[in-house]
Amino acid sequence: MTKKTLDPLVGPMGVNNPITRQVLGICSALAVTVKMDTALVMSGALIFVLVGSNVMVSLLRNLIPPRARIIVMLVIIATLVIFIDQLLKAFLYDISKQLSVFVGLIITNCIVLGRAEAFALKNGVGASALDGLGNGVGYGIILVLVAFFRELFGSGTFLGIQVVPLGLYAQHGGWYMNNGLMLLAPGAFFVLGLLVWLQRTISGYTED
Amino acid sequence: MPNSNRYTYMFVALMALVSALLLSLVKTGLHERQEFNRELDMKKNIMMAAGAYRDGMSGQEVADAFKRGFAIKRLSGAGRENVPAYYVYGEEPAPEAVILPVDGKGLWSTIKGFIALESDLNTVRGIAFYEHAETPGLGGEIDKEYFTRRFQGKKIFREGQLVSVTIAKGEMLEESDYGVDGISGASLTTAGINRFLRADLERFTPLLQGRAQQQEQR
Amino acid sequence: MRNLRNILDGIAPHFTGEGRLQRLYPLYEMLDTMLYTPGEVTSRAPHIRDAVDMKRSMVTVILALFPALLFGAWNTGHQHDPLAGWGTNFAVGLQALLPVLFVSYLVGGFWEVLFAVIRRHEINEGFLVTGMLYALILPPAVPLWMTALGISFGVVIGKEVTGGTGYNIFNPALVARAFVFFAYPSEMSGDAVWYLPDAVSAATPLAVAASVDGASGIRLLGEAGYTLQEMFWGTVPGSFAETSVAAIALGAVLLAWTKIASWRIMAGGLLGMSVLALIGNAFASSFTNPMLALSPMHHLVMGSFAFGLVFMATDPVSAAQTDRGRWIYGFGIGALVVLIRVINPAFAEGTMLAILLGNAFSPMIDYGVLRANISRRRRGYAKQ
Repeated sequence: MTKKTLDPLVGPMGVNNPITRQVLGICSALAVTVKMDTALVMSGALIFVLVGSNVMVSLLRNLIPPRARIIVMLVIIATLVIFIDQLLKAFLYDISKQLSVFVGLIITNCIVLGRAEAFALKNGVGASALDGLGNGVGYGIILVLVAFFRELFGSGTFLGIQVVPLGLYAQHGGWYMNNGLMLLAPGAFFVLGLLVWLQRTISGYTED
Repeated sequence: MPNSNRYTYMFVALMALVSALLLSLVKTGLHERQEFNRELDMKKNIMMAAGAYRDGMSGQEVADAFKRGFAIKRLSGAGRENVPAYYVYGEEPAPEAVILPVDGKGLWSTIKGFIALESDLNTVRGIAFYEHAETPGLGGEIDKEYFTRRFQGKKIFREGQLVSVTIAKGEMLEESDYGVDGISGASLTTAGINRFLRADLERFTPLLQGRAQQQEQR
Repeated sequence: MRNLRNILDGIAPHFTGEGRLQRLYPLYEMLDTMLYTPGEVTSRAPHIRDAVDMKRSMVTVILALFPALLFGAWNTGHQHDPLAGWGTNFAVGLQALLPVLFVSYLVGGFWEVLFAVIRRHEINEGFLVTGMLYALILPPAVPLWMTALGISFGVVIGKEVTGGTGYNIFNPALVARAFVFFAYPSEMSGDAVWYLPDAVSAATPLAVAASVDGASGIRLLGEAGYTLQEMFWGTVPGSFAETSVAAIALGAVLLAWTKIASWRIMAGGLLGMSVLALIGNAFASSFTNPMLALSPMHHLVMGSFAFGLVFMATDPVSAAQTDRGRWIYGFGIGALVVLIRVINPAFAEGTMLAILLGNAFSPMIDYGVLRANISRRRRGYAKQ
């Protein structure tokens, strides 16, 4: 595979990240990143939907009636989302409860419709699949990063495992306390903002 | 062709049909499992309130333990909608515990929980809050073991009258069978709990008194 | 004196032009201008003569804070042990306050220097005030590491992220305070935090006034032993410097007279607060909310309203800039404080949030005032 073929895959994972560079799909980034396990499952769900919808839209791109194309894309996306939501409720019930409405909200996640419209409608299946995977993984990386910090500072745990020594806490005789702001949505905003700041400082990108 | 109205309508209709078909298949296939999960979650919480749950029990273990030890009953109220269920742990006519669902408004969210009473239908065996969205670190502490543990051994009836258990603001001034220490900074959450706990217990009072009488008669 | 000047001039080359320490120029400049008046003069018109420069206005604010600070130090000790003599009280209070102040300046100052060096601008003395304000609105028993985290957040996200001094949207000291409030609520609310450890704690006036549904806030205050006089002079529990309206008033006079703080903001705030409080009074008997009964006088002396209005709402950068806008801005803050205190059960004190919200709206208020001005003038010209 040439570098050019892999561009749609690699681009969104780094410089062209959907969240930090294109600022898409933030709302779920705020809500599900309190813990890392929910962030991971959410990322997985989004990757599934994104790749699936990109592939389907690309397969049908010459058949979709132009005037109804947004509706058709939405139906495809919605079907995939409901499908994965039902799967989660059946096999990962506890996490699904914590994710509550946010899996359903993937339908409204701008990344999915955005990529379908901007890429899958005009490109072949292979490239569309890669584009979906790249954007999905890029999104997932940010989600997991934000969740890592929020869980670490907000609960003292990593994937549920206590990493801040219990003895350090004020309730156990020490002085440390978990940062309550990290458990609230604004905390996610701040972590995300700092990440965007970091990424743009490194890559030198500025808005016009 | 793709531009014509006829094509558009047909395509969209076909799309809708395929999608609906697919999803109904998925839903029917998965429905049982989902129901099982949902009930399991509830059962787990009921068992936690009654003190019958041990950490690390698998889903199947919980289901089995629940089937063996617990029974679901409904308040009699013929024809009424939303008749709440309650749960009985152990053999009738003198079960080990009766577990009642309680829920109501906290500060930011609706709090749902179960309160388990010992066989005397007065002493609290345990309490568990399994669903809420209260402030993390403050009101959110209500689901922690160090807090719910305080309810064990408290009573809800004083000389035949329902008084419920009251969570104090901060530390209780004096020891009491009818109150527990509160959580600093969570006064509004706990005030909400005090209110709805009492209201729900009042609703179950006829049942409790009825059962108590029946037990005495034996 | 000459020697000091010679020394400073001597090391100047290291920090300027091709000197090795050129990146640390901001540090040198800070020291130089702190000790000596800056020697630069304007090269082109407009030439404006003013006796007051940034440093002098900052120093004036600090002077204005001194009555509140001194009283607060004494009060912290007094609340800790009501029977102790005033010397002991001072000592105890200062012992609690000075470390917090020190950490605030040290950590906040570190961030200031870092950003000044990286962004290549001079260190701004605005931080002198921010660092002190932040320390003074913290509860006396605050852990030092929280203080450090808070001021870091306040300086970095509250100020530097939006462009540094002169560009901040929000008051950095309040942003810092808001951070610790939401991040560590158990150390920032409740009854015990307003006292030093091991004291017998009682509820603060605001907490008392909200405590019993159906009662009157005024009666509750009376039962708890809080009289208007006490609350005015400030012998009640609270953060380091917010309790004494008397001391704050002294500072307010100084600031308003030197025109460093806008009297219009303060007046607007008092007006807004009074109007909303009176409206609440009118409804006091129809609802069970005990706080509706509190009169404007009560609102003024309870909690941090006075301190916030005089020292934080008046921060020139984050407040409205137009005269009429300042009235509106102040009024809005005063009204919002009462609203949050009375109607929102989750927050006992509304000042911090009201001012932050006011900060967010001040550009819009100014914009509205300017547009109204413009359209009024247009109509005037059209008539001619």
